Amino acid sequence: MAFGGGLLGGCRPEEPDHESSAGSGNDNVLRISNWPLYIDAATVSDFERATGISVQYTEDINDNNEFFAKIDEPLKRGQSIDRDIIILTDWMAGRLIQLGYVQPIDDANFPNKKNLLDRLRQVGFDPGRRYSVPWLSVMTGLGYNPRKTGRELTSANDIFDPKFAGQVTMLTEMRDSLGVVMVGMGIDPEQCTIDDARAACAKIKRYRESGHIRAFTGNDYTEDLAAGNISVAVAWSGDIQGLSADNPDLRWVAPSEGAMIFSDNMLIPRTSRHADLASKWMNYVYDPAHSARIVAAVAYPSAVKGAGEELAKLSPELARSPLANPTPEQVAKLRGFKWLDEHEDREFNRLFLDAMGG
Amino acid sequence: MTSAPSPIGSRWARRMLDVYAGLVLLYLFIPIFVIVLYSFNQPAGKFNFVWKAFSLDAWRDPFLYPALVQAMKLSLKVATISTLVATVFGALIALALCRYRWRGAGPVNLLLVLPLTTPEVVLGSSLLALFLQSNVPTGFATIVIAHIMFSVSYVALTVKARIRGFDWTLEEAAMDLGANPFRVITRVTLPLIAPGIVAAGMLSFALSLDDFIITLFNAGNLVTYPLYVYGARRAAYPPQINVVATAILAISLLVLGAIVLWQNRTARETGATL
Amino acid sequence: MAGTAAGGSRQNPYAPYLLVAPGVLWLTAFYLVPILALARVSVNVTDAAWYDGYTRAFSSYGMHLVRSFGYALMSTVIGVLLGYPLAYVMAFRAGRLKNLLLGLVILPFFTTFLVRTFAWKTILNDQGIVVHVLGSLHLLPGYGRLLNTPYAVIGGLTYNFLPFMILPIYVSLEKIDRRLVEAAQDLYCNSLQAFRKVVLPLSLPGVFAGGLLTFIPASGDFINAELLGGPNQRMIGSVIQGQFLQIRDYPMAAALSFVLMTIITLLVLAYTRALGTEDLA
Repeated sequence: MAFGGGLLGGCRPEEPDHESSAGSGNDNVLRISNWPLYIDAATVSDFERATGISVQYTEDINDNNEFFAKIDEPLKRGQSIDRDIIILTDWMAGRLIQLGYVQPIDDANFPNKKNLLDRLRQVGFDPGRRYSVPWLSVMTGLGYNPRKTGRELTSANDIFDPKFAGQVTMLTEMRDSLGVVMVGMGIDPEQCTIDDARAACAKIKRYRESGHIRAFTGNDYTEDLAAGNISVAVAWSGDIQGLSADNPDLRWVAPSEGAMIFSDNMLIPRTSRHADLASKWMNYVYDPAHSARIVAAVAYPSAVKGAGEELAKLSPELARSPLANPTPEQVAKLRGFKWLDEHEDREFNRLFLDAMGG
Repeated sequence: MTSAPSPIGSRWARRMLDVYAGLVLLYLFIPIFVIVLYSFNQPAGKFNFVWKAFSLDAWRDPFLYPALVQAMKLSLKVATISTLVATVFGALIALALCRYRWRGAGPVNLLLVLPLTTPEVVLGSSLLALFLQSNVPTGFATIVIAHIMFSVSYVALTVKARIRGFDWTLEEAAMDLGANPFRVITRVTLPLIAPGIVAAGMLSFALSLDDFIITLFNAGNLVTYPLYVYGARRAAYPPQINVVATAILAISLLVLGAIVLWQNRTARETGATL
Repeated sequence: MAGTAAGGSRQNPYAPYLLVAPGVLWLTAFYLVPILALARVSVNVTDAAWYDGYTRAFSSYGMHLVRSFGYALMSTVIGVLLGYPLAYVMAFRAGRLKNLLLGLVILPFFTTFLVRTFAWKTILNDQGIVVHVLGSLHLLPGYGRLLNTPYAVIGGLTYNFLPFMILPIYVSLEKIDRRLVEAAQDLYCNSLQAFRKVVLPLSLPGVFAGGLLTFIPASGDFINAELLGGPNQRMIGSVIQGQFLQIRDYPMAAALSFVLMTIITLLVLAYTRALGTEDLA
C-alpha cells in the first residue's frame, strides 16, 4: 500500500526516476530551500560571482512537518523535488536520513568541513556527518515587548503569567514549545518521558482552552509581536534581532531555567543531480568570514569555527552577544530535545496536536 | 414593466428596507475596497495587513515574486484545460436533459446535484483517497481531473437553466426545410445554446481559478494561486497578491460589462429578451 | 412550453445516453468511486477493530464537528437575515436597476476566496478602525479583539457565502407572478399580511436552496477559521486536512470525512422532508 508508510520505517524508496529529474542534470543552477530571515543580502550573489554557479534561493520552509508533507511522496517515488539543498531541523534531518531521502555530501568539494564546531561533530542522527552539516544554530526562548509586559521576563513560566492572558503565542514546532514549557516545570527536555510530555501538553491545553494562548504560529509571530497584538511569544532568538531595527523595544531572553538550542541542517535530496554544486555552497558558507557575514545579518549562532572572531571585525556588539555568539560555557547551559523513536514521535505529536486544539 | 407595487406597507417601512438592503450591499463590498486599496499600500513588514503609506511600488513591480507568478501561470493553465473539457461534457449533458425525454434523465440529474451537496473537504479528500489507493502521484494531472469533476455539474446546470424552454421543434423545422443534420447543429442548435455555454464556461473558469480546498488535497507539491495565498499566512503576504486580485477583478468587470452591453444590444436589435 | 424533439423514428434513442456518457463517466469515476474509496480507507485494515478510525474520530474530534455545524448554522441564519431583504429589494423595488444590482452582488465573487478572507484579516486587525470603534463603545467581549474569536470566523463564513444565499432567494422572488401579489393585497388589508401569506411561502424554495448552499460549504470550510480564528475555533475541515496531508492517519481522516458527509446528507434529507420541496436544480 502506498499510504500509511509516511512515518519512519515505511517502505523502501524506489530508485530515482531519471526521467522525472531530467533537465536538472546539465544546468549550472543550485536550488536551495530555506527558512525565512535566515540569510544576509549578499551571500547568494557573492557566491554566484565567486563560483559562477547560479543560485535559486527560496524561503519556502515554515514548518518542518508542513515541508516534509510536501516532499515525502515525491522523494519516496524517486521524483525530483527541484531542490538541491533543503535546510531542516535536527530531528527532521534525522528522519530524512533514516528514510533514505538524502544523499551523502560530496566531501571532495567541501574541504572546509573541517571548520565544523567540535560540539556539533558527533550527532546521533548522522554519525560522521555524512549527510548533513548545520546551517545555523537556533535558540528558542521568549520574545517580548517590555512596554506591553510592563516588566522584564526571566522565567519560562512567565508565559503563563495571568497578566498576559490572550497576549501569548507559542510555536507549532512541538519540540520548541514543549521544551520551553518543560524547563519551566523542572523537566529536562533531553530526558523527558511520555508522561512528562503528557503533563506539559495538558498544561498547554489548559491555557489554550482558556484563551490565554492566542495562537500557535510559525514565523508569523514576528508581525504580531511588532504590531503589539501580542506581548509574549515563544520565539527564535535571531527573529527578534531582525525586527529590532524597526522595533527597538523588542527583547529576546533565554529562560533562566534553560533555553532550547538546536540546528537547522543542510541536506541534499537523493534526487538532486547537483551534489557537487551543493557541496561547493556548503564549502563557501563554512569559510569563517562568510559565515560571520550571515550571522551579522540574522544573529543566529554559527556552526563554524573562527566565525566568532570574524564576527568581531564586522560587528563587535553582536560578537559580544550571547545570542549571536554564545561561548561554549553558555552553550553548555542550553538544552536540546530528546531524540524520539517512531512510537514516541507519534505519541508526542498526537498529544501536542491535541493541546493545540486538534 | 416597472417595479411591482411592493407588498410591504408604509412608505417609511419601504425606505428602511431600501436602506437596509443598501447596507448589506455595502457590506458585500467592504473587502473589495480593502483589497484594491491595499494594493497601493507599502507595508511595514512582510504582511500587508496594516496600512502604512500610499505607494505604487507593488503595481510597478507586480512580478516581483517568482513563486507568485508561477502559481498564477499554473492556475491559468489548469483553468483553461479544465474549462474546455468540463464545458464540453456539461453542455452535452444539458443538451441531453433538455432536448430529449428519456428514462435516464432523473438519475443523471441526481448525479449532477450530488457533488454540489458534498462539502469541498469531502470532495477533495475522497479524490485523494482514490489516488492513494490507485498509487497515482498527485500533481498537475490530478488537479485538472479534480477541477473538471466539480465543474461539470456547474456547467450542466447553468446551460440547462438557459436552454430549458427552448423550442426544439425549430430543429425539425430546419430539417423539413432541407437542412442536413450537420447544418442543423451548426446553424440552429449551437447558436441557440451558445450564450448558455459561454456563461457556463466563464463560471467554470472562475471556479477553477478560485478553487482552494479540493486543489489543496490533490496538488502534491505544486502551488496554484490560491495555494500560494494560503501559504502566505505563515511567511509573507506581499501587496503583489492584492495587485493580482485587483487585476483579476478588473478583467472580470470588463468581460462582464462587455457581455451585458452585447446582450443589451442584441436584445434591442431583436426586440427579444434573453 | 418546451417543445421536445419528438418524431421518435427520426431520433436515435441512444442519443441522450451517448451525449451524457463522457460527463457521467467522469463524474462516476471521480466523484462516486472516490466516495467509495473514502469509505474503504476509513475502515481500518490493521489489527484494531474495523471501526477503530470512527471511534477515534468521534472521541478526538466530536467537539470540532459540533462546532463546525454550529458556526455553519449561525452563518446561515445571519445570511438569511442579511440576504432576504436585499434579494427582496432587488426583486420588487429595483426596477431597471435589477440587473445592475445582480451584477454587483456577483462581483465580489471575482476576487479569490482566500484574498477576500485575508481582507477581513486586515479589516478586523487589532490596529484597525473596526476594533478601535467597537472597543471604545465597549462592545468587544473577552480580550477586546475580533481576530482569533468565533465572531470573526462566523462573520467570515457569513460574508463569503452571502451571494450563495442572495441569488436563489432573488430568483424565487423574481419568479412570483405580480398579479398574485396584487390579488393578495386586495384580499388582505395589510400589506405585511400579503407578504406573509403569499410572497414568503412562495419564496421558501429559494430560501431553502440558499440555506443549503450556505450551510453545506460552511460546515466543511476551514479557511475562515484558520485565518480569522484562534486555536479554540478550529473546524472539522482543518482537522481532516491536517490528518490527511500531514499526520497521514488515513483511517481517521477518511472516517471524519465520511462522517461529515453523512451528517450533512441526513440534515439535507431531513430539511427536504420538512419543507417539502424537491426541485433542487
